Amino acid sequence: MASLIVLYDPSCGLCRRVREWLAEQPKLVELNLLPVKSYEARHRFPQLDHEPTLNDLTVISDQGAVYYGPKAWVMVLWALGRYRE
Amino acid sequence: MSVEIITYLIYLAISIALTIWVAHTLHKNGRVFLVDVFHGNEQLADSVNHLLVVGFYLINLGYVSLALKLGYSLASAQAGIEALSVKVGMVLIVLGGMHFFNLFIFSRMRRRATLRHSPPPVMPDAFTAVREA
Repeated sequence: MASLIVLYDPSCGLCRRVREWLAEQPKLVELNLLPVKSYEARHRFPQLDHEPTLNDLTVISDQGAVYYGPKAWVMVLWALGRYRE
Repeated sequence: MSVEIITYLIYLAISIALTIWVAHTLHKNGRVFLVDVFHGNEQLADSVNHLLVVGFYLINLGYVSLALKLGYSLASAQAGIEALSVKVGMVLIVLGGMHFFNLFIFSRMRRRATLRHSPPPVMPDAFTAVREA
């Protein structure tokens, strides 16, 4: 797995803060953040039901594995050099 | 030759021999670890191994040299042997400490390397098609 795409909600303050925090963290796996239900999110995942992505953090691997909610948070931490342990 | 000089010479001979033996053991057995850490890159493993052993020699021989001075005169051969045992004991403890510190470094490097290549910790909830950006 070379990269993870994180679908985040730009209208939520916490999500924006997490996004800024993620940008500064050393990563073991590349993280790309896309706003939920954006054109690009729909373009990259045409078959995904985008409705639940508004309520739960969603992480999708470059191979198409989808993680929701707590699993998505675990995957984000797994991608970071300081938090994999 | 006085008892002091003989004690110093025996001290140096034992300490240097012990340092060489421990460094040799470290060099020979540490290599396997490092080759694993660097995923079979033997050249890099040998290089790091050599650098570690050089540091090991420098610290130990530095300690042996600093700890040489006795500071008092020896009245008999018995006093000489007792002084020698204290000095060699100290060298052994420092060597042991350095050796375990090196083992700690090896195991930490190995753990970090295995963590880096560990699989995802959770199973995906679903799969979806991904279109290139």
